[in-house]
Amino acid sequence: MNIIAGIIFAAVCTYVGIALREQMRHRTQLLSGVQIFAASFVSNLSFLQLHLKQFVETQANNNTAVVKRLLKDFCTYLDSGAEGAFEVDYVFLESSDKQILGQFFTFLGKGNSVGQMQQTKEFSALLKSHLDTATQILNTKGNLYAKLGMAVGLVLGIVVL
Amino acid sequence: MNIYNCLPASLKTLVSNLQGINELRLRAGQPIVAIVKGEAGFLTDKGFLQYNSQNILQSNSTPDRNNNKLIRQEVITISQQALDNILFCACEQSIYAYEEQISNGYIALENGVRLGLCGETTFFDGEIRGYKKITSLNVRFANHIDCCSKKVMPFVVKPLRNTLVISPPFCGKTTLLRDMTLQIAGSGINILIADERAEITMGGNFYILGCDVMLNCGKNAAILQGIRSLSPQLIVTDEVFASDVESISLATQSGVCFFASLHAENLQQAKGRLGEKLFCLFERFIVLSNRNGVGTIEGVFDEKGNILFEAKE
Repeated sequence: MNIIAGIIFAAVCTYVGIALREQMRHRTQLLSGVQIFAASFVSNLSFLQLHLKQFVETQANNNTAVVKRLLKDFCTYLDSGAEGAFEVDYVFLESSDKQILGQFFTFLGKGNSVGQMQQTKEFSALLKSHLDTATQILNTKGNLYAKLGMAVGLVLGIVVL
Repeated sequence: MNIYNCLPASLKTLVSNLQGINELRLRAGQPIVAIVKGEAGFLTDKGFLQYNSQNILQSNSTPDRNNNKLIRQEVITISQQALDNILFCACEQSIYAYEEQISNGYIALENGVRLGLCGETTFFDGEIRGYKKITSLNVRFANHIDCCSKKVMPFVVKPLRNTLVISPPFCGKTTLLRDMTLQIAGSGINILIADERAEITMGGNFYILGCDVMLNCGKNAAILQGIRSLSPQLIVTDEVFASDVESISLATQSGVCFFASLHAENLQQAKGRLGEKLFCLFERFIVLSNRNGVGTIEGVFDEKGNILFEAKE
């Protein structure tokens, strides 16, 4: 019985540690994915000028799961008439991330190409600082949380045994 | 984008049930006006209510407005928010992709539907750049009538003649041009349709055999590009202006024939609007009216103004 309890403690703590690291990784992935999306949107404005939904769908198909999910949500928002603000509400994002992402996606399509281009460039610059912070946190704390989770799990497991 | 998908749900049902709708006039806070089979009227909960002396709405400021209380309650009005939503939807949520068309005051939609814009503009360098607020939308539906050009075709082909279709708005110029093109298409002649407002080809959906179509492109650019790269023998374009003289002259000098249309009531007015230089390039003039319904052919004239075909009373 004690062996089973020890294994469960070790597994749960390891899982929590890894889950925390994954959240940080998702945040970084999403922010960097949106940054690439914004750069592609600027180039779309300059030449092809694909309609927003078509462009978003194309981008969603060639992206990581976390970015794909955001872009799919945005497509749903467009389908519903794009009234009101687009809300980004993922647990792994900081509230300031949610705010700037929401603002960026809400303004997409609602202006001429010059205005859209300028705002997208400004957004990209702002997003870069968020991405840098997220990357730094992932590098410093991500592996630490995973290792800490595993270590605490092992210690608890040994104590129970 | 299909206009029906952009209308509010209640309006969509009403409009899609109207057979032969030509226009829908949407003005913020005002009753919706429809033109059905050439007759104007209001849209009410029960459908289309044609104008007559009893139901003409009085403005709010007129003292006897209560006389029309009943009618006022029945007519459907449209809000500013609904107009904004229609426009945004018509642009497929991508204003940037339509800015050129918006600055020209219209959006070309599916099936040749044209959405005319009106409101408070942003003006820069003598040109409309966009709109701060849209207060009116005019939805114009395109209709195709098979063989409506049958009577005029003998006067414009064999040999192919530079032809100008003249009429006031809403008399079937574009429909006639489309059918004239259709009659000639497939005979081995290279035809270029410079379809600036996507009305001739009904949004690019109207398939005409053997035609190259430049869609949503300014006439001058389309004509010049066409001459350079497509070697057309006939160019078909809608609503020419005096400012198009250079490109049309160049095309006719290169041996290209033209079918075009112009907003005017008669030859004199057309000459005044186009200027001598451009007017003289045309050899046949087809004058339309809506005297006996939309598309009534008043006459076909040659370059000297002699009548070749006259409508019978």
